[in-house]
Parts: sequence; C-alpha cells; structure tokens
Amino acid sequence: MILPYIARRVAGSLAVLLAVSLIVFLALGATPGDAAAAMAGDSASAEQLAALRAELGLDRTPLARYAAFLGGLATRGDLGRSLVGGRPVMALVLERLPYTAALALAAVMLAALLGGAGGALAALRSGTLLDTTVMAGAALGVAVPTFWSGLLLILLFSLHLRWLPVTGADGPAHLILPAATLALPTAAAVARLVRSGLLDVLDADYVRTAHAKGLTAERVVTRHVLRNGLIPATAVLGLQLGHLLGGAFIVETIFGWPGLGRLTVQAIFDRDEPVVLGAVLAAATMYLLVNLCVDLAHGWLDPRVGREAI
Amino acid sequence: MPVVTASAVRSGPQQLKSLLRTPTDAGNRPKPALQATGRRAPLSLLAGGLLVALALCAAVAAPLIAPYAPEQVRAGPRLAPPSAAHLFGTDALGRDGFSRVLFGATIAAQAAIAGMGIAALLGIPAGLLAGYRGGWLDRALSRGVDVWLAFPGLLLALVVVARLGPSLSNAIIAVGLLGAPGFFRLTRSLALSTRRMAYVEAAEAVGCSEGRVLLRHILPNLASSLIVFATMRAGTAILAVGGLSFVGLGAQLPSPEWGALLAAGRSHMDTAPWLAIYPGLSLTLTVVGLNLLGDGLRDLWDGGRCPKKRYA
Repeated sequence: MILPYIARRVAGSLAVLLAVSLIVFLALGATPGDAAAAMAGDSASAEQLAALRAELGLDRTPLARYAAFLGGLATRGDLGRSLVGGRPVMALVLERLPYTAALALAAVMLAALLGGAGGALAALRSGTLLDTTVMAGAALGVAVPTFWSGLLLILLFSLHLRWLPVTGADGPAHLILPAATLALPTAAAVARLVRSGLLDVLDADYVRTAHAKGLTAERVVTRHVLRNGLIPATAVLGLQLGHLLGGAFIVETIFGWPGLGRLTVQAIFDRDEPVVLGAVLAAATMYLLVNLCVDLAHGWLDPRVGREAI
Repeated sequence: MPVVTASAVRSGPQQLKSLLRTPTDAGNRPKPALQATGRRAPLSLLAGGLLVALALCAAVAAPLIAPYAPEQVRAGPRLAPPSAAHLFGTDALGRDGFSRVLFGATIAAQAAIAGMGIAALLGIPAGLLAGYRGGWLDRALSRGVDVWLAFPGLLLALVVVARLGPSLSNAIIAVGLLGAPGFFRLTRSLALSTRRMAYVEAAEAVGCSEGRVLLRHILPNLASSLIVFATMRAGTAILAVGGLSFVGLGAQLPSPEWGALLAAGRSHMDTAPWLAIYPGLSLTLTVVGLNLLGDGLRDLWDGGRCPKKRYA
C-alpha cells in the first residue's frame, strides 16, 4: 500500500526536477554576455570569439545543448565543466555539499532545540509574562534578516567578546555563528508552531479523556500532547532542512562558508553557466528529496494524514 | 425506536439550524468586504501601522528631511560615530549615514510595492481563473506552480538575476516572480471556496459575464484576505531584495539600498559598527511593522479568532 505511493511521489519529483532543469537551462542558455566574451576579454576579435564559442559548445541552440547535457548527466553523472577553470561541475558541487549539509543540519537542530523549548515553555505557561516575552521574541525573530543578525552576532561574539572566529570553515568553532544565524528565524517559526500546536492539543477531547482515565500528567504530556502537538513543527523543520540544503547563500557569504550557495553566487558573477545550472539542480534535487522524506515521515507520525495521502 | 448514535446527537442541532436558516439570514449573505466588525483596533494594528507610516514618511519625504544628498562624499569626517551632526554616523567616504538610510527607505518602498505588485498581478488573475474555472486550466496552472515552488528559498531569484544581470530592478523582478505562486495558491483556494456560494450562483443566473462575476462578485469578497497577505508579502519582498543586494546581486553601490549598505558596512565593522547597525535596524523595524499590520488587519476583519484548523 505504501510502495505505490512512494513510487508515485518519486516519479512526480523526477518530473518536477526535469521541468526545473529545462527552465534553468533555457533561462541561462541565452545569457546575453556569454562566458566566451567574458573569457576572451574586450580585445578579442570576432573570429577568436566565434572559435572560443565553438570550443565551449556555446554556438549550438539551447535545446540541443540541453539534450546533450541530460544525456551526459544520465549516462556519466556529468554536469559539464566550469567555464572558469575548467573543472568538472559535479566535482565542484560534491566538494561544497558536505559544508552545506553540515551547516543545514546544525542550524535545523539548533532551531529545533531553541524553538521547541521556547514554544513549549510559552504553551505550558500561556498568558504569563514568559509567554508574552517568548512570543515577542519570536515575532522579532521571523522578521530579522539573516544578513543583519549575522553581522550583529559577529559584532558581539567575534569583534567584541572575541570568542569565535569571523569567517572561514576550519573546525566546529567556525560553524557556530553561521548555524546560529540560520537557526534564529526557523527557531522563531518553530516556537510559534509548537506553542499553538500544544495549546490546540492541550484542550483536545482525547487529552481530557487521557486525564479522565487516570494517566499521570507526565504520561499525558509525553504520550498524547507532545506526539500530536509537535507534528506541525516537525513538518516545518523538515522543509527548512530542504531549504537550507539548497544553499543558504546569504549566510554563507557573510561567514565565508564554502557551501553550495557561495558557489552559486560566485558562478553568477562569473557568468559560469554550467556551475550555476549544476548548483541550482543540486539544490532543487535535495529540496525535493527532503520534501519527499518529510511527507513520508509525516504520514508515519500522524497516521490520520498518512491514510489520506496514500 | 430509532437508534440514536453519538454523532447524530452532536450534528443534530447544526442540521436543525441550517434547516431553519432562511434566505434572508445574515449568515447566508456574503460578508461585506473590508468592513470592520466593530471591535477595537488590535494593538498590533496600531503598532504596525505606526512603524509602516514612519517608513513611508521617510520614503516619501527623504529628499526634504535628509540633511545631505545620499551620495555626497565628505559630508563629514570619515567613519565618524553617530553625533548630533550625523545621527547615524558617516561611512568610509564621509557620506552621511542618516541621509543614506532615509533614501534607503525610498528604495525599500519601491521594492515592497513593485516586488509585491508583480507577484500580485501575476498570481491573483491566474488564481482567480484557476479556482473559478477549474478543469484543465486549473490543473495546468497548479502543475506549473509546483515546478515554480521546487526552487527552494531565493534560488529562483538567483536564476532570474543570473539571466538578467545584477541590478536593483532585476532583483525586484526576481522577487516579484518568486512571490507569484503564493498569491496564486491563496487566490485559487479562496476563489474555489466562493464558486458555489449563493451570491456567485445568483450572479451567474442573472447572466453576468465571467469577467463581471470574477471582478465584481468574487474578487471584492477576497479583498480582505488578499490585502492581509499582500501586506506580509511586502515585508518579504523588502527582505529578499535586501538579501540579494547584500550579496551583490541586487542594488549596486553607491545605491543606499539597506542590504547594500549593510554589505558595505561589513568591512568596517570593527571600527565603525554603526554602519552595520542602523540600516539593519530600519529594515527589521519596517518588516516587523508590515507583519504586525498584516496580523492586525486580519484580526480586525476576521471579527475575532477564526476557528483553528485541526489535523483531521
């Protein structure tokens, strides 16, 4: 029963991915100032430029280049070569992926801890000053742009207190600030969801029933309240993981973190079409993959949803 | 004796009520759009309205109140801390920070209005048609939006900027394209739920054209929800344009766009932290204001808390 559902979802994701790759390829295929012009410089003659274009395969139609690209990807896992430096795009992407994955995982775990604790405290003490404070913090947290909170964290922890390094990626100390920056808005969203999820569940009929049949308060909270009240928050955390795996290019730029996002931005500056394409495809693939896993996990956590979806 | 189940007992009164409801019953008529329900304006509405009004004043009146031109170098000493002469300090070229932040508000207003406007102009008509007509058009548009949404975060904006080249207007276009699916989905679901309402069927029955039904009967009833959504989206648009500008893919220096100002301030953070503080503070307060305003408007128009959605 579950297998056809998974198969259908995988097929759907593949179709979307194909459409994404076509759109990105066509969008970037006809870039006006192409890479040959960028590489050759202003002094190159028209013939030199044409020769360079032919060498790079830029003289073919975008659709022909797309077909060749798909063929190479399907048969050899080949994403083409960077126009700047000539390295295989797949290698560039795989090189950056662990950094992006480490940052995304750290940020999501931090957001789950912060947001979960904050939201649960606010729900269990709802209506108190603590609740108001946590929720005001969350309202601020979802609005603060990461490119400002990141700078503020650098100001405080790197420049003022001198506890943590500003930029770079040598070791866990370098991970703390970028992960915290990325975690803040997610933690704020999670805190709101956990609070409203728990409040919803706390006055649900089945919780009253659980109390009535004599379960201890701890058992009611762990078995009934948490399991049901945390479902929306876990779904958001999963989605956020997908987003962050797509490359948090702003935070990576602030902290000089060598992930997928910085690769993409640099490739845009360089008009390095194959690298932009490869990085965007990698990001979209991971996003769709994580989405799929989140949906399946959601069905497992909450059988009421699962049955409907299947 | 008929068997009475628990669920029949529970649903009994509701069924009775709906049977008793006459066509003139207020509950059956469309709710007047954009009309306050007589409740006190929520605090969030006041606070949000105040912040947004402040930002709008700065945006409109920047040329009048700014003490210096935003690009005027050597308006004061270089990297001077905030003082009476330079409220937000000066940057590495001696430009006045306060003037630049004020003119940044003008750009933020443009980003908010144009970015959100593009998204709304693309998303709302498509959503109306998809929700009202249904069928193949709905399926085709919804599939397209699924593909659109397969780009996580700002990735789609990166593709657009990669295609068009980095500039403020291209960043705004990118952000508009990014926001369109949200407007589409909301409008579609709202149009879908009003399609079978008595007032829509009545309009169809008296022979209104499709355009008239959509624009005169359905759209006005969606207006409050769409305005709330657009208010929040305006904040998102400012954030996204700021983010693109921050990494160099949006407004280019010497533009006083807030994200670009923060990027420039980054290199002087140890000696001139004010350059990294005031533009970010203005940006954050504006976005918080828009979010609060959206929240407040929703509370005002909903006339109390709407029933919470349960997972069922």
